Amino acid sequence: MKAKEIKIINLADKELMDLSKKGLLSLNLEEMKTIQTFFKNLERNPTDLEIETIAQTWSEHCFHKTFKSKILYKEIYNEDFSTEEIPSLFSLIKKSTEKISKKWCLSVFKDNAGIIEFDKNTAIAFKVETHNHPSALEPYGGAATGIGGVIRDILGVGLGAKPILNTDVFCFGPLDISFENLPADIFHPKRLFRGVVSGVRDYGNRMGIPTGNGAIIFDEGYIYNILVYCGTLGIMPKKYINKKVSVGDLIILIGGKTGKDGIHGATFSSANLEKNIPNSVVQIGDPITEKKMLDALLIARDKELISSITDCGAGGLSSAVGELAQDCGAKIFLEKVPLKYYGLEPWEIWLSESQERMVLSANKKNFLKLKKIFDNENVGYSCIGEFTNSGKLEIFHNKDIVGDIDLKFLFSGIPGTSLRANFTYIHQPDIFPENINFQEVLIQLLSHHNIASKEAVIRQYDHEVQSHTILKPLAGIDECGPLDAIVLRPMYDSNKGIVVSCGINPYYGEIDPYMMAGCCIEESLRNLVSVGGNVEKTAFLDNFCWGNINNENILGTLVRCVKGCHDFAIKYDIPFISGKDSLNNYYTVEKDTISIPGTLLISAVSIIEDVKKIVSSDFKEPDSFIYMLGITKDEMAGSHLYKVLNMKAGNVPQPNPEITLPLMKKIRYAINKGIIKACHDCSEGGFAVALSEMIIGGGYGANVDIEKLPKQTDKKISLLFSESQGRFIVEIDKDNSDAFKKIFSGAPFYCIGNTTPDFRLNIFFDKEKIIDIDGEKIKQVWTGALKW
Amino acid sequence: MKNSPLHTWNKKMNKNFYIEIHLKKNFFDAFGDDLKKSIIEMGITGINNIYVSDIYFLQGEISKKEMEKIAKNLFLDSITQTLTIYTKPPEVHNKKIIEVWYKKQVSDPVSITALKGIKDMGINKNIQIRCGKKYQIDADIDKDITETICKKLIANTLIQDYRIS
Repeated sequence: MKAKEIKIINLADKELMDLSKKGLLSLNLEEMKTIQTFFKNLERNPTDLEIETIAQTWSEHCFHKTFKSKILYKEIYNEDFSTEEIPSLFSLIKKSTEKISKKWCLSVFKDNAGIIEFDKNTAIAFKVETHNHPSALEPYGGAATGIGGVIRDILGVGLGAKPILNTDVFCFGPLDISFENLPADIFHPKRLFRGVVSGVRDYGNRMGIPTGNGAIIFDEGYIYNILVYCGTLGIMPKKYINKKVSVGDLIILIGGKTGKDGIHGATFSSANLEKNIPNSVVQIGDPITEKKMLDALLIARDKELISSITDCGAGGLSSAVGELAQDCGAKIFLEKVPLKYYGLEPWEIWLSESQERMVLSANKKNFLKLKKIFDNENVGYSCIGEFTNSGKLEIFHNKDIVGDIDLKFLFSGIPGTSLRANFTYIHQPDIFPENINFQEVLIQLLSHHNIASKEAVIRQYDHEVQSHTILKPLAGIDECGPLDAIVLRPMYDSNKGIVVSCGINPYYGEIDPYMMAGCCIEESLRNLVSVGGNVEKTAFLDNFCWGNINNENILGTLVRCVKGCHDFAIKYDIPFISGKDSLNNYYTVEKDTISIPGTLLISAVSIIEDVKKIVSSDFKEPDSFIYMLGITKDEMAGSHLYKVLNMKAGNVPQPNPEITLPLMKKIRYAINKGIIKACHDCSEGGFAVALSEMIIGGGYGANVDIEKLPKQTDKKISLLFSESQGRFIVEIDKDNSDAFKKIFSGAPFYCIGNTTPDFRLNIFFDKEKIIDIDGEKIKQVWTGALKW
Repeated sequence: MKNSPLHTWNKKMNKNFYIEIHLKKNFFDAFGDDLKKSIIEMGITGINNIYVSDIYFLQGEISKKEMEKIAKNLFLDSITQTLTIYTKPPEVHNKKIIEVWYKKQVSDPVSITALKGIKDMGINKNIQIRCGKKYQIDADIDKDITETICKKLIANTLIQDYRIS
């Protein structure tokens, strides 16, 4: 089969746009015209393969146009009006990392994942991806290939890292929504929920990688577009963190065969969900093939047989080979690509996104050795070309030249765009609900699907495989108490550990995305500090999922969120090492578009010296002191209480790094000294929910007086349910009280009560008893709410 | 039969086999029970029981003896499951029967792995396999409701075809 000529050099503007739309290229007019001019100068038309390659490389998904564009940003905050020209959102995030400049950050924002130092000889790599569109269309296959893809990112970072942990964060519509309220082409949230969880479960478990950290949010905003974040953490020798292609190296494709799967995946995922979607955009994962590939690659890496590697993700070979050849050039022979079936056009082979494939480069003299490894591990492979110094991608199919693309144009020819964005902060007055039955509200919160136990999901994942999981997702007396973060001990001859946690809360973002960024950053930190993580050696990943960013107001919320990430990363002194964005998550009904709430996921990874010095959140003994650290304020906007009461009012919580960061360092010190027996942070649902969770874990009761909380409010409702940042509840042995006070002098803390042998939650306000619930009831409500 | 690979029965190759793997009676059918719960959640009543089984459609130059060997060694877990091999398209019983197959252009890793498994068993013949699921719904429901159940709960028509007997 030969490549087709695509006649574009004489097309008028409208015809160019028709071509872009009809061919699913997702290119705008300016980009189409740039391509037209480029080929006019070459005095020829492009082939189908060439134009498809450019469209893939320039797609939002691969090139991140929005994050790389110049943005003119207007902000109205109360009375203040300001305008600002932002060189690009990406540079803004990168700038914070450069400013923080940690020497243990080994590779940031350039490879398939961020890499930080673990110990003298070892590094860890971390990446979180999204797979939203495919998962909405086929939840099982979409989520499975999502996790499969991020695992390959880790296999393709440097010269390859070994995956040791998967993370998963999902956002769905409410499970109890009625079928009648859904459009015919949208799956019910329950089906999506079950399908997505099953997909992640089957892929991760079959690959033998523990899935151990995550979150699930249920909200009306995600009925039409679900979010599926999948992350993988890998470990590798430090000497393998760099890759370099040399001219003359072979291009070897390994793993599964190539079919028509996933064609237009990258351009498709850059557009919104529309009807009449071709079924090639979703695929069914094949974890066994990927597992074999993983084993073979790690052997090849350790024998130092490969010079570079990357995964075949969006854009398939075009983007994998293109990336590796960026600084040199390559010759590719498409007839050498192993196919699933006959009948693929050259451009389809080149662009196919068939899963479980990777591209590596190797010196010719190593080929026979590699061949032996791949044969032994039963992995498919084929040498499909070699790297050259031509500065071009020269693509052949059965001796016909089907593409001849200038790499400089491909990677830097995209016209720079300038966008406009607006953000207006709308202040909401403080309103407090009256006549609230605190006890009933607490029960309601504990059974809210966002807060309730995710045991039904967690238990499906293998979180023990590879046997290095020290602190698991659930623990406590019946192994049902929630833990804040997972702790791994990846090396059997060392007690050094890795702590992984996350922070996500779209509700704050509805009011102020800047504070949402701060709160997500802080939540992920609080989670890892609660188990003994080290804020001084922690790195972040950012994942932005946003709605229709062609709308200037929605783009404005994204800009404000990115500004928050930049500012708070600097304030907490924590670098971002990698990230990803998924934009245009919206659904079109007639002429309206329904966007998802702007959703930021912060994933945090921290290195600790000794996994023996960690704590869990469950109360350990009766008659210990319960201390509250951090100040409670009237910060009810975006809280789960107001969500349950359907209220919108007040201020969103404001992180306070000046107080919280020193507090976090003190907590770590106290945990290391063995003074803190249990620690849990206050997040969704506030103090009352956090305390209930500690009771559930421990099987002991608590007697506390909220009048004693360090506070800037006297309202009982705020004291119980406000989601003020920077707060932790800790359990201390009575004998250690003095030592504890000494460590925390200068920080906001107060002893608010004690644990009790009686499994019961008693909360007083001064002398008035405001909550008195049987522990069994709390446990039953919290563990039983989210059913499979 | 349009929405099923069975429409190629006897057309392509000389031997056709339809294999059904189902749970033994004393084992709890979790998939069936799960689907039953989901149907009830939709507000549909009159469901008694649902049985889910795996189905394989094989075409190729293999003997019945070889087919039995493949089915027993590759597809069947003899502790919990039993197996039926049909050499003619299975007859439809009284119950509502739904078959779900991947569309032809969708990659099906289970079939690919099965083919590899057959090769590893030393049977080196030209064989084609399609894998699917079969749902037997023992219920008093009409065709429209069965269609709704298929579309909303069982099959994803983007990548799968379903056929109601």
